Amino acid sequence: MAEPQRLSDLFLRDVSTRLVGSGGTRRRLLTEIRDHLEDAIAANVEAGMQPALAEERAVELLGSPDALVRAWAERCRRLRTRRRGHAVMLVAAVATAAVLGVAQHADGQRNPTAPTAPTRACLAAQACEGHAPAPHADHRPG
Amino acid sequence: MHGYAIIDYVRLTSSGQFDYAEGTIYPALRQLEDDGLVRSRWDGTDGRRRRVYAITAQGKKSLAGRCREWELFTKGVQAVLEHG
Repeated sequence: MAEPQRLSDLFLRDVSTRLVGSGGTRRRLLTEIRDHLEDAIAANVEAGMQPALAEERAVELLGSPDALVRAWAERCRRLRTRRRGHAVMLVAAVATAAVLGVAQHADGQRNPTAPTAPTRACLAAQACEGHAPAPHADHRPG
Repeated sequence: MHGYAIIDYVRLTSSGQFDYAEGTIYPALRQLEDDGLVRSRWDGTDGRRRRVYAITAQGKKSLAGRCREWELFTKGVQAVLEHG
């Protein structure tokens, strides 16, 4: 004859079949709840309760499986919303970088003789030091 | 501090005023961890492996803000009660 199931096991099985999320995060939650039940039962026994009553009391204080499953689902929903927000920001950043790249490339194609940013910086530095920059080819007197 | 110890601490220090479904503390802790307010790791120093939690610098800052908000709220309620 099969041994009767402990209340703790029944609680954990009920919760485990209804939790959303990945296997790893669900397993961690169930491990923590199992640890919690063991601690609570041990504390109740130490306080003078019979083991069966100690377990019953520990499961009772844990609350209903529904409350736990709902709280967990809410946490997962918030996490999904946040990740979606991060993904949208990443896509926006990549799109902005791509648009800037295309714009700079187009600018370079239109005016291939235009000095690049470092060259402009060098000219500015020369000007600050009192050295007149070399006149641009297009502005040379004819 | 692990989940059961946190519940025990809150129960003792509040003289049993906080009566909630104990299981819901674990999704709440995970939410705090998602928000970067606490961090956790497996610990086996007392011979049993347990998930232990610690507040982060961001968590301390957030807590200080919440405490200030709570203080203002209770002062407001107290002022209303005194003039009522």
